[in-house]
Amino acid sequence: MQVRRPAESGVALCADESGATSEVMVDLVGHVAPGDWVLVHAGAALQLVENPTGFRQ
Amino acid sequence: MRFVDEFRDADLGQVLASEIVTTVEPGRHYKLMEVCGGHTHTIYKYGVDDLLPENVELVHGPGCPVCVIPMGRVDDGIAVAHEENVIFTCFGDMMRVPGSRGTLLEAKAEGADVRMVYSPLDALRIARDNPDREVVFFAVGFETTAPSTALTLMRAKAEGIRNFTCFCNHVTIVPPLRALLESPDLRLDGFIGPGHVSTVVGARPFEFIPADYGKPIVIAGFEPLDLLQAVHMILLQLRERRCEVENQYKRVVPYDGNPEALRVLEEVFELRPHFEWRGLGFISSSGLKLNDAYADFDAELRFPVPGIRVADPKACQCGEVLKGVISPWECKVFGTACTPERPIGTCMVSSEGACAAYYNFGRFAREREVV
Repeated sequence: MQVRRPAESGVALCADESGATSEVMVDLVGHVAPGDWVLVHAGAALQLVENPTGFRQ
Repeated sequence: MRFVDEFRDADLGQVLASEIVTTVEPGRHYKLMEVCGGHTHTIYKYGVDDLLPENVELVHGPGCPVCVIPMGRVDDGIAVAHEENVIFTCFGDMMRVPGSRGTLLEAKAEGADVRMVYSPLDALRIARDNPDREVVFFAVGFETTAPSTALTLMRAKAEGIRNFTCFCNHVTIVPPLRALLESPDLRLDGFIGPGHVSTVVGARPFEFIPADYGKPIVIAGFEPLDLLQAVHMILLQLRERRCEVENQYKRVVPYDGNPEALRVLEEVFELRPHFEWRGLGFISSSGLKLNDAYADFDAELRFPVPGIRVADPKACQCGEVLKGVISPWECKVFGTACTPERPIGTCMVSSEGACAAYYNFGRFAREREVV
């Protein structure tokens, strides 16, 4: 998912490839900024990734 | 390669398929197991197994955490859902898993307040919004989803929330792999390692597979080319008489996984002495429970839980599917008495289940082998 809004208290707003947004806990991936891509499972970001399976924008 | 369509490129797939053909020893039969529901899904969606030569067989292991939950535990969840004042939350898949007397969805129809959530954070929000109700979260999943549960419980504790508990059914990946390797039923040549569990635990925990059992394992990504490349890497190891843990999914999986995720797991959970797995029986140290520091958030301590073991229905062969002993279409009730609309077993219910994947991608017409 892509970070859209930075984290407050460890929770950032992220969007999936359809554009749907949800709150994601980012405590486990260090600092994230809008535009960063993260691998998310069940509402928690597990790794910062380089849009490895992203769709062409 | 940076975009997903590149990882699904059919021409590249054919190139990899040709390389695989040149790598196999003719006359030798290879049995490779994948232990990740996401991999099962990709294999059937993109027909990855159709691109492999006849003598390379992919079998599915217990990689779907919903599929391995025994009926008795579903009954326990339903019992808690029927407790007074409870809002029972769970992922969508869990709502349709049959217990011995129905599903959570049916319990909802009977009046239990059962709500679907996408993350434990949604469940915590419900608890905050409903301070006079008891909110329970049915936690399932391997090490991929356990960190999310842990982080949510840590937040609940920090905020002093008193009406939120977790019915914990998290499981760990290494013990069932060991159980399979010890099983006389299976003769596996190698493993396709789970891609997202590895982002948490890393590649290191799988070193025992080559070291103790002499089998190669390649951690793979989730696109069809990832899986083809991983199969090729396993076959190369076998041809070159190498035996090691390799990481095809380096773009996402570090060797050490996510140390902070492992730390939060340790902060909240401890291993149960043993836990029952559908099809595999009781496996030591394979399930997680909340530790003493989080006892206030343990649903099994707050609510009465029947804890009765329930045998699978006689017709159900989920256990054999989960061990890779049979393929979905070899199950006697596959596509007939057991369909996604009216499932008998978990492998047909869960989106990560082998049977559901087979059925939903239109592959149920395959002829059954005479055994």
